Amino acid sequence: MFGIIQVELYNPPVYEIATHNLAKKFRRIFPLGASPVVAVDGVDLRIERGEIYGFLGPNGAGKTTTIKMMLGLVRPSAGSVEIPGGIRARDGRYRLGAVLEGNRNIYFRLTVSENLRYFGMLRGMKPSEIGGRTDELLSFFDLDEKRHATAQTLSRGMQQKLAFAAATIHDPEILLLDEPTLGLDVATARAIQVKLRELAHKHGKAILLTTHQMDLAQAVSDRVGIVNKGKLVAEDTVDGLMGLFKRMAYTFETRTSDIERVGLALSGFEHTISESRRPGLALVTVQLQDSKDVFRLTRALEAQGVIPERLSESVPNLEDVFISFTGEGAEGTNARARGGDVE
Amino acid sequence: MTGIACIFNITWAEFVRRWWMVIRYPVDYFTGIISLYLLFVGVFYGVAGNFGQAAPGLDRTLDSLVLGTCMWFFSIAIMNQVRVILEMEAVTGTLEQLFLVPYRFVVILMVRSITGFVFAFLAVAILLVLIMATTGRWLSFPILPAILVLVLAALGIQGVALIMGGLSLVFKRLGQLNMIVQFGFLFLAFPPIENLAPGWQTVAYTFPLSRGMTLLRGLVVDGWQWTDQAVALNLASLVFNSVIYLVIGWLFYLASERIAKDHGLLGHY
Ligand SMILES: Nc1ncnc2c1ncn2[C@@H]1O[C@H](COP(=O)(O)OP(=O)(O)O)[C@@H](O)[C@H]1O
Ligand SMILES: [Mg+2]
Repeated sequence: MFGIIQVELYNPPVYEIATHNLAKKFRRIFPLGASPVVAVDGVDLRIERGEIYGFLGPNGAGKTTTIKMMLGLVRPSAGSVEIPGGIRARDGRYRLGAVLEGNRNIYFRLTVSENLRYFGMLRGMKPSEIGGRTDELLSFFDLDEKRHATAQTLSRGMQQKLAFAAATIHDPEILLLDEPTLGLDVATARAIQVKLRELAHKHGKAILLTTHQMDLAQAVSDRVGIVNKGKLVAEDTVDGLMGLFKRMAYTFETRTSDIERVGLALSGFEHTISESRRPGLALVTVQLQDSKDVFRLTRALEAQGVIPERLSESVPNLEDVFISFTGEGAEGTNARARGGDVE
Repeated sequence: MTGIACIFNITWAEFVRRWWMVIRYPVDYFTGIISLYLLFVGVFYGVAGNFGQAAPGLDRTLDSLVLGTCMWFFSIAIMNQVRVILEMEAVTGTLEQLFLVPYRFVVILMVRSITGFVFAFLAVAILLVLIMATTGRWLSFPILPAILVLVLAALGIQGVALIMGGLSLVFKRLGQLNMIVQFGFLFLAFPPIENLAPGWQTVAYTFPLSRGMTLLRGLVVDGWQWTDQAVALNLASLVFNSVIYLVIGWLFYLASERIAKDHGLLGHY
């Protein structure tokens, strides 16, 4: 009734979607009395306009459950999801879009263009708007020639691109993507990455994506949140997270014959010693609690007469950060098994 | 887009989608009709052959049989549609996407049911014409009142459909329950309930479809007129029965959807 008089009395929040102390405990129906599973344990997220938020965590950390609660597919057992702009745009379009993990997300028996038209209409687009959007998306994803092919005849990569196109046909402001590039070839994953950046950085969309692929997360995320056992254990920009890490790890090489003395020198430090690529040398990685510890480190080495060669800050990647926070490799491999113990 | 335009939009989308499916997979759509037609032809000629044309009252029985067959098919089509929509969507991995719309999912479910009703109605009309052509028994009846009764009966059956749908959302596989309900409809569609003992009659009339069948038999077979008092009374209780079933079904479905969202079952199958 008062739709026309929307005076904005204060600056509206710049975030598109937020969760407040969001939690989910799955109670099982059968068997009776089975212990509940805590999937999400008090998560606060805030996804802003124009940003890509990488939501990372090992298997079973609660990523999918969080996304589904944000979408209203799973009912939270505590906390809330806030979407300041509502789920419905003024012109009636749905303001959210999602590609869900483990779902096909599209109709295999409909053609590419039928899928887009159907989902566009369900999400409140006017039929006249759909044609133009369809052309645009299909040409971007190189699906032009497949326009009239049924989805089941497409390759896996094309199907995923179509799922992505169907989730964005109505131009949603908020995009939630659960493992959007899992199992895709490099070219397809790249196309999706390019599209994601364009959507966020050019069109101001708020995007949350979960992934196991740290290289993808590192490449596209503006901010990263790491979730473990249902709790958000770290959150920062990609650079921020890696910077935090960088100050803490140093590597150097030393003669294999010096290893015993290195051990004595580093008895007060968390460290690992592994083989170097250069023969006769060992690679030492030292974890420092504080960047000032670097003085203590050099003094301890000097006292034992060890000369650290090629001393440097170890350049971490997001995977190392991830492992340090979750104690697990992204693909489920154990940190120790990878040879680089960073705990 | 306003609410009405939105509903119109979804309805149009559903018609178009169903139409795409019918033209791409015509066999799927017509298999049900054809198999039922063959079954019917067998039964019909079995009955007619055993009793011969001379038996008194046989005409009425045969006409009731034609009507019962069509209505049973129609009831099952409607009774199954919510469950089948939910199961198919869960299996094909699109169910959750249907929840991602700017209105409640149950709106899609109802719109799909209505388009399903129209397509089932067309199928039954085709079946009826086929059967009448085969048997040479052309039923003449007031078409508009019959359609009104059909729609009202369908609303009650839709209530059952929503209950079955709600159960399948939570329990996924309903197994034998579905068979039992289909058999139940067999008993409501064929025997002339109006001839039962009063006690049993009351019991039968608490179910959906039964009242609609009485009305349809009256209109189609016994030549009741639209203005007869029996029609008005039966119609009133049909409306009452259907509204009750629809409301119960609706509430049951919403409760089931909530349980499914509580337990994270929407994406499962
Ligand atoms: N519907 C469900 N019922 C019971 N437990 C569930 C359900 N969905 C997820 N879980 C459990 O919740 C935890 C988090 O799962 P999930 O959100 O899928 O994690 P992720 O996506 O990070 O791998 C897991 O232990 C999982 O087994
Ligand atoms: Mg997951």
